[in-house]
Amino acid sequence: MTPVVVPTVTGPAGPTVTIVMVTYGQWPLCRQALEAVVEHTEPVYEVVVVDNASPDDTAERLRGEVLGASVIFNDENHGFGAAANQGAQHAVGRHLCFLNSDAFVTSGWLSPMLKLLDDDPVVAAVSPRFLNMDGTLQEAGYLLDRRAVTRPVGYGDDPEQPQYRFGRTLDYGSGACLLIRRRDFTAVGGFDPVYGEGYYEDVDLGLALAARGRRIVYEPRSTVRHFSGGSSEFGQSTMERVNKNRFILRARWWDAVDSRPFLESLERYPHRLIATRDSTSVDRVLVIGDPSNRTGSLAASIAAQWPTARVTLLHEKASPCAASVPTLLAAGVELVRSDDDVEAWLEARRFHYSVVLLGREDHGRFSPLLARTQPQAMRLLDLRGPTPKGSSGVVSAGDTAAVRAADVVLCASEQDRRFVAEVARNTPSLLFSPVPGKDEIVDAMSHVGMAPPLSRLERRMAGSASARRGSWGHGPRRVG
Amino acid sequence: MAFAPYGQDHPTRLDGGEPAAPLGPWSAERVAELADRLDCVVVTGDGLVGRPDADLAGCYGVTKDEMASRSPSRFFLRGLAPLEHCCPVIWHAVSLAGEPGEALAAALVGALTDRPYVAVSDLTSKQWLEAAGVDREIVLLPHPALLASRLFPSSLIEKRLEYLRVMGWYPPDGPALLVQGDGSLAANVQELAAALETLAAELGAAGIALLQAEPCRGDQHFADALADALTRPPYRLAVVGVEDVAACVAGSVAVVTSSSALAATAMSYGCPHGRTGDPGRLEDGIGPGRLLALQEELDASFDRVARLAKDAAARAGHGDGGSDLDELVATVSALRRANQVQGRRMAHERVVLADQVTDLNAAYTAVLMGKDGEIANQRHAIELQTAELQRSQALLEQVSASAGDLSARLSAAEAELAALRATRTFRWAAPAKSLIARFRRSAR
Repeated sequence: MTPVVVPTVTGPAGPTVTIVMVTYGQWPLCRQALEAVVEHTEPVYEVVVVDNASPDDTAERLRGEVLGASVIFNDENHGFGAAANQGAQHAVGRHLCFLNSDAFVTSGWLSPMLKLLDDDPVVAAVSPRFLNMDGTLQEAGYLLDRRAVTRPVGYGDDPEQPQYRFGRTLDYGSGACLLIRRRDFTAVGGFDPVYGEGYYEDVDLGLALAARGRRIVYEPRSTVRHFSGGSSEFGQSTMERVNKNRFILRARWWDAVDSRPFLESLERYPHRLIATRDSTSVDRVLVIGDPSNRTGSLAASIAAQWPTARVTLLHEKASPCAASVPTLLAAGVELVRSDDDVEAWLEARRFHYSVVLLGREDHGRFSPLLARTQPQAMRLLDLRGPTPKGSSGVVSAGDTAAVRAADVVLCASEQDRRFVAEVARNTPSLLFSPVPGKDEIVDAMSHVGMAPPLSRLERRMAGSASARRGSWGHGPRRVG
Repeated sequence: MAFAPYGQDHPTRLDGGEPAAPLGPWSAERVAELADRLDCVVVTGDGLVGRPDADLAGCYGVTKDEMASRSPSRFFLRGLAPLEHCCPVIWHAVSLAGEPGEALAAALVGALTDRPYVAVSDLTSKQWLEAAGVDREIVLLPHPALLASRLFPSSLIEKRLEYLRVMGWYPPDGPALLVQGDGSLAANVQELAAALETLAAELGAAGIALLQAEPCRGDQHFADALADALTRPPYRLAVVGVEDVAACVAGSVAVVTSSSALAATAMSYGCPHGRTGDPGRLEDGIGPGRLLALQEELDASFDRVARLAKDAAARAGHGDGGSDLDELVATVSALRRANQVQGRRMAHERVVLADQVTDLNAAYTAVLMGKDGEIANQRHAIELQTAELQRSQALLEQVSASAGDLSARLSAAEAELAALRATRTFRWAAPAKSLIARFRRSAR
């Protein structure tokens, strides 16, 4: 059999990524997974394989058919978490990528994930989009509920649907393929071996990172095919271990899971699903309008400034031009079409949003629905947006109801502001440019209760060495 | 920024994924570049001065020539001379690798005399510096590893110790006697092995664990030799990070080590410790009061370094608000956390409210459906009754119509009979009919 040859990284800085693969039998899948890595990854990585005492000839095959990788052979099965830690201890890359031996990376998988880590020190780990072997979606991130039950997002669906193609913050990333900054992994002590062979070590890791103020993000542009269950057997005893581990996690992280909804009775309580998905996002902004124009760029700007916020853009059926969609999805904006069942859609997100931004033209259609389903949301009215059909474009008495229903009004001119002052004296109005800058957007959003985005200094300090090693126990000391 | 001879240019598995910036090869240009870029430099480390550069080659996997050509020791000793008036260099918790010779002594005197702060981490280094002719204040500090117990949260230590146990690198059922030694001790392991086994038995240790904490100093060589000499196979801690070192020290019954850093770590965790060359003489773990006093000495020294750095930054025109900025960021961070907690609580309450609204809607619908059902039932009953009534009426009408018809026919028949009785034939035949009837009755 032709050996799988892992390329050697050239250059003084060594590998950027250490791919850690834990094996336990199933050699054909392991080989296929390694071949996929070699085929689809630019040579900036090293591979560390930890064989967890495979019951078949996997260890022998690793010795004979894999060149260029570091291979560690255990004489007993220590479970995934401990073996993954072992692999991490041999790593020299800045980042670790835990990859299951039944997970197959695809073309261009690594770059988008690496970019997220390199661009933002607050991002500690990145999870790709997982597909089943038949091409359907396996998961676009996982949900974690109040009982610490997990549930994949979108299992079996078409992976190209927009709701699975925008990046967002996750509670945790599946250990089947997880790119993580090595210093953050080290800082939380790696995977906790207490979970043994029954899952949940990745959930624990995610919650530990979040407790340190780090984010785990979903990157849909990176795709990995996963032969679910190929690297483990799932029987009654596994279920018992899973349940035992669930209780351990629940007891350990009760403060993080206790305020979550239950993922049950979803037909009766559909809002629980979306509330669980967005439980890491305190700021949730619903933008209504056309993604191809100013509304789209506003949504993208908000998502860029507040990466932890959930920004949803509700648009008319077939209204976005093809070019704007990928940009918005890449910015982390959730795109939803307001077709005939918009009422049901809003009902399924009852009380979900903290802010709603809409233009004059949408007030008439959406105001009663919003009043019923999102009465808690602060409402931003954009008077610069498209005008209602038949309107002259000048703000007039016809806009009175929209202005009165708004908490803050974004105005195009002083004349608009005078109008707002006349019809709703206590409603703040802000002058807003046609293409608003960062400061204008931050100012507008602060008027509807959103905290300012993380400053560059805060990001830098969050990623600094002192943060990695934790406090010295007595907080900062005043000097001088 | 932290600097090391290679740093990011040569990351290692011990850097925790956080390699330092590379110092690069020593040159006047590099010195000028660093002096221009930095406000202040702090040199720190064990055995940093008086050690040949080539000795560091093993740490990085490079040749001795390559390492010698980079001359990192020139940075350690001479700092940024002759530009230290622009960028002061401080020695903090430095120790010397050996007694300085004549040339090194002269270099030390030249380098240290005008530095704003010189602090060493062991008494011998202080004495060597004084003997070399360094005539200035030399502060003697406790070893900075005394702060180890403050550096790592106890949850992290427990987690890593559990991991070491799961991997079979540390006794699963009790504390170990932790042993570390450098390569120079590898030749005399036979006696040492016996002494360690006796000590482990006396202390009730669950086993002996051999730690390779300082790979650059031949720890593996020592551990291999000692493992062969012990009568029972020891636990081996070969590939470990700093967290693991702290974890196994914290979990051990005693530590026998040749490393001053490891001994200080043991003190930090209140663990008895001894020198590898003389394991029979264990020093008891220091009490919390003494530990606190030593840690406060270190804190005061760090504060002094911070103050000097702040002054240097101010002189360089880079502001003096560093610590204020730290406090501001900490305050903002606390506010953000509070905002997050409050936001999550509100989101949770909204979900609960949405559940309640759903339940109320369902109940309302059920009530509506219930009332509708009652009305429908009544309507249905009325409809049934109405239909029944209509059927009865129709029947009555039919019966009435039949009765009318019968009545008419009866009247017609009566009229016809009356008419018939009124005829002459009937009247004449009447006596005969009566007679016949009487006759028939009597015949019966």
